[in-house]
Amino acid sequence: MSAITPSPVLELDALRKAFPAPGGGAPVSALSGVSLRVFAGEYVSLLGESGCGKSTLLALIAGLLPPDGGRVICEGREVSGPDRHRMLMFQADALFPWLDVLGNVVYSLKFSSGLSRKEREERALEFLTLVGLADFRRARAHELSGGMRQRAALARALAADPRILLMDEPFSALDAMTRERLYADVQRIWRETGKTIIMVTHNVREAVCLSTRVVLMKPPGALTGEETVDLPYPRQMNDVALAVLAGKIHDRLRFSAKEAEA
Amino acid sequence: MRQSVLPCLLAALVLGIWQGFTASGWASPILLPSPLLTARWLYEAVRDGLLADALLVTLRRLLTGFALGLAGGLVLGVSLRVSALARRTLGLAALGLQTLPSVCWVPLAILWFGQTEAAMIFVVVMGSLWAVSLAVKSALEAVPPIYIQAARVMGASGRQLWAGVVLPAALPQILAGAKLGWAFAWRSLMAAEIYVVVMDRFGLGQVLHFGRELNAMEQVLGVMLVIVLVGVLTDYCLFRPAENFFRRTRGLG
Repeated sequence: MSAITPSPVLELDALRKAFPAPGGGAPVSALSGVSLRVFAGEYVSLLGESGCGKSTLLALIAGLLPPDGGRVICEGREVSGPDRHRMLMFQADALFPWLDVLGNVVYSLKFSSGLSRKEREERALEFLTLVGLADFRRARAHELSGGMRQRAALARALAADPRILLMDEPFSALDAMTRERLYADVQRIWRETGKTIIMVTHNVREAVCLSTRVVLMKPPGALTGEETVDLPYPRQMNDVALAVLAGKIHDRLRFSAKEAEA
Repeated sequence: MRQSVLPCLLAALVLGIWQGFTASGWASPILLPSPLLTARWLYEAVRDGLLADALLVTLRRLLTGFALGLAGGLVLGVSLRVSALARRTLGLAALGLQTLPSVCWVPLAILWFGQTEAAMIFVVVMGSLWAVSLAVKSALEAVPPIYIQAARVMGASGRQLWAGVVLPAALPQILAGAKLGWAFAWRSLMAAEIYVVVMDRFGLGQVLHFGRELNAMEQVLGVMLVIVLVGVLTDYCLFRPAENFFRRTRGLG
């Protein structure tokens, strides 16, 4: 590696993972040798149909599952378990129902050293302000709309100050209008905080709208290619150039899916 | 207020039918004393302090036994959740003993502890412990794994995970287990008090038992009413508020 090439913040090296088949028999492969490098400040989307191993890959990066083979290397160190520096924001709602919104974000700060209780609350409020939920800090998860819950989950994930934010289909359960508002907010927050983001999605437009790079996956858990998105931020879902690129990626996905069937 | 109209009407109706039935002379007052007779016994028992004394003795036994059963059930429930060995040994025992009516423990309790408070408490603990521990175990198992994963990703582990996530998440269901334990403890204590006689301390069960020996069915009925009343009151004052709290804060059911 030459001196001027920046080292990746995350490196996936030939990752393999299989799960036991439901009825016994040969294990089902979820990832078959995935290698990927992600650099600081990138917004990478993992794009593919359901069952292609996207979420498994994210769980491996988060350290929630051990790989069968290969390595996950974060900032030069091999990943062996979950860590606040690789923060996973969940697909389903994982806010704690026994805490209010502020309490949820404060919980995330509990494990960072040297903050007093008061400081934690102040920091938590800053993150709630960032996602536009400061007025709802005393609300409970069940009192919030789907979009607000995802905002709260985002604030909770950001509060841990991770190097890498992992998002597992964060917008898939939301209606179209809420989703588009969140796209704008996530772009703003990503640019303000400079976080590295890896997001799993099956929505091509969404991937193109948000990411700097789209990585394509197909079953059984293989990367089939990638596309750099060179459009200026902030991006609009209905931008023509964006739609054209999304169409192109869509065709590539369809083509690789047909290939897989053949 | 309006919600209590219907239950009051219903109670009045039942009392009216009961009074009419006994007044008509169809049933002998020895077999079925009238509500008025029962009320008079209750009034006398309240006035001479018999009822208050018995209630105090019974409630103290109940609370002691229930507290022990609950504490033991929590410990046992947690160990059943975390240890496969405990599940295969204690878990099977708990499952079996849970089906055993607690009154079956009375002969052994009297043999081991004599006619003492300890015998009483022992029966209450045996009556509530197993049900509570199994309820706690399933409450812990029902905690959505996603909460635990989220907490692990945020940096929680070991004790933090238990105290900060698993227990709070399971609390509403643990409360349901405690409620079940309370009901079992009540039943066990009444059985124990009818069979075990501690000479200087008479509980409600004993008063009921003496009513039977004296053929004073108004006494039996009076004590039964008090037992029902205590059950309703604890539900209203103890468990209902806690359940409502969980419903309100967590949006349950």
